[in-house]
Amino acid sequence: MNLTVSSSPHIRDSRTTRSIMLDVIIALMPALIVAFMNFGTRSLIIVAITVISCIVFEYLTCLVAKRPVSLGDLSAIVTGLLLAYNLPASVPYWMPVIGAAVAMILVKGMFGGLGGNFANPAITARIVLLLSFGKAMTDFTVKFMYSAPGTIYTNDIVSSPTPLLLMRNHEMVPSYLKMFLGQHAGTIGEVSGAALLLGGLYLVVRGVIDLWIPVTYVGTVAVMGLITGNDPVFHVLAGGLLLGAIFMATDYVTSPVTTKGKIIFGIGCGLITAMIRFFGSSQEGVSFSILVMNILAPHIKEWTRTIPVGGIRHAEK
Amino acid sequence: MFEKHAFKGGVHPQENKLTSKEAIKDLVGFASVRIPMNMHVGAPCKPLVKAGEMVKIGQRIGEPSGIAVPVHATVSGKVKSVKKELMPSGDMVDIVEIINDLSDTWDENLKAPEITDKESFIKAVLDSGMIGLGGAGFPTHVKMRPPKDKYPNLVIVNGMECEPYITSDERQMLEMPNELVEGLTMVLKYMEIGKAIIGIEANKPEAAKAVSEAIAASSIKDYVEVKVMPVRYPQGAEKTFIQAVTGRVIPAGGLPHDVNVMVLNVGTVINLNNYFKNGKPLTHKVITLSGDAVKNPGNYRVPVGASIEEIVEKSGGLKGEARKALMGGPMMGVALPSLNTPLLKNNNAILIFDKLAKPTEELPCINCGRCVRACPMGLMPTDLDNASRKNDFDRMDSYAIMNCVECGSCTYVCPSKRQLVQNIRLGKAEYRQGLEAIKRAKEAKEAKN
Repeated sequence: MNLTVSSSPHIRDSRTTRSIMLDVIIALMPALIVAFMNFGTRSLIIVAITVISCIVFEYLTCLVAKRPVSLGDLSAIVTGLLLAYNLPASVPYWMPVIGAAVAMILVKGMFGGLGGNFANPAITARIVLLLSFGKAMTDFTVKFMYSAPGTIYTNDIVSSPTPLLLMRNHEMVPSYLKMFLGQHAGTIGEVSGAALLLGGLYLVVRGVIDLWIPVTYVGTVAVMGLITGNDPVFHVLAGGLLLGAIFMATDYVTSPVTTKGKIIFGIGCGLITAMIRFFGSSQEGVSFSILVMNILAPHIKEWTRTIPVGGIRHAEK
Repeated sequence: MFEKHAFKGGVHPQENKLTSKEAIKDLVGFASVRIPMNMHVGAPCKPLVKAGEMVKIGQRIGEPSGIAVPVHATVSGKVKSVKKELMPSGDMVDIVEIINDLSDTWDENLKAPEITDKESFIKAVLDSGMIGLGGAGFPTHVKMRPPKDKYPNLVIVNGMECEPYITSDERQMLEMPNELVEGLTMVLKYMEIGKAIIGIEANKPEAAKAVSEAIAASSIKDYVEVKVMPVRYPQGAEKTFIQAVTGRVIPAGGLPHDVNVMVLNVGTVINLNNYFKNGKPLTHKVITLSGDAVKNPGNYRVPVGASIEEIVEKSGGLKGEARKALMGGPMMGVALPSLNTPLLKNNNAILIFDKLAKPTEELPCINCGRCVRACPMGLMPTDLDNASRKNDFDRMDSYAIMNCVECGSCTYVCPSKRQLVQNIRLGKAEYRQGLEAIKRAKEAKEAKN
């Protein structure tokens, strides 16, 4: 008789890192369907290139760093999807490859792989691409029927300004319903509030995320909109706020674990986004706010440590 | 109907109480027993018998000194040997082996103790050989002698049984509610305490009903409350149990008497009553034998010191292959290297599994926070795990490593399957050594001055 001896507990919850990542992938699917309807086949090609590049770079970093190959945790696919969702469908095919290299090698691989990265790989890669290839990264295209009024028909897919740009230029913005359904120009994954909320609801029901970060983040932007005289509903639906609040700011690795910490993190993201959107010259509120708060997350964690039941009895030195 | 969740965190593993309908059966005719001389927390007993001597059931064979309780023979027959053996706990312990003569002769000198006051009551508790039967094995009489400045004003009786699979307390409450009430009456009377709460988890409605009815029909009905609590692990762990039923929080490093409560397990009270009434010390134990490799899972009364192998055999044997054997529940139980291990006073379950999740590979921590939410002590297990792996004394100290009750909830929920509680346990050992080193350094400094 060969008895296995191991440390308690001898039973484990069925939740695994892989199943969590799979849930995130499932939650991202509604937005992919909207992307296909809005931006056509090209959006799917960009998503495929990004995801495959992420997988390849993850594999290569594991080989070079002599780490066990960690593709099984599916985190590379999640990063790939999120990065692709942050790109316009019109970017040249080589650009997602560079983005994937930044995300998987610079941000994730060099800091020790899954769990080691100090910032969200997809957000950081998007910022790098934006700063390096500003023109391509802001050339938003969409099916002609969803383009901004006044756009001239050149093709089925045309360039069109995003609602945020229209607002900045004091032009007519799409209706709330159109914005909610995603019938406007934007990056691949950000356009439809409906699809993102559906995914978010799935994540909450499955216990993958809780509501603290998304609600405090979106709520802060809305309140700041009210205070500064900007339309709060428009700003919640416009740009990458919902994509960022539901899928990027809630990234476990780069956000605090305690409820108090999550609230501070969410409010911080909201304030920075609002500052950039309402007072800045750039439209990159969501990306920069999440990056900044990612960097602050370890400090927030220290400020918001849980209090041990019964208090602490320190050693006398 | 339910009390509000009074402790934070916790988990809810599959309950798997397969044996809750199985009445307690006596297993008899064991060929031999091997009785360890320290089954309690504290100093080991001195063996009173030598090889070749004849003993009877209930006869004292281990004499306590210091914080300890006596050990009694659990079968009648001839002492085969008295020798040291390695226990699963890792300690070398004196073990008295008795060959059963199968005559089942009880020691004729056993008689109900004369209890007249608090002192004689506590002495009776000591003589009964009673220890905390919930699992910790702390001598019961010691709890009844708190420091001079502590005045327990509440007895809480632990019938939570929050570990999956285990049903021995449930069956004892259901089958012996009057013994529980009688024992509790004695405790309240002689400990001069005016209030008791019996805490039972909601997955044992019949046991709760039986106990409530027995209380209602007794003389102590105005002093005792039965609280049915929602099912949540580790509600039966002492600190969380106290918090759940009373809202009182034991300060770090403290004991129940620091919040004026005395905690007793239902099995402890029932067995105490047996001694008060019949003079029979703790020689037999009701355990749950379960797991997918056991042919007849059930609740069995067996002599302390019987080998697990023989208990399994007497119950009807195994089906499938035994790949993992646990003493205790799946959350906190100890995995046994061999079935040839004696049953201890404080064991309440033996679980034998064919299929049980193998220890899986550890993946990196993804900072998901599930362990933090699961920790009933409000700790941050990943940080303790990290500090423990690095043997970082200062961080173990500031993160309150000693508050950890090792319930395993963090490891249970971890999606990366990290061995959190295992490392924290090692960390605690390192931390204790660190404390010792500080103490020695201090003493050396003082000696120098």
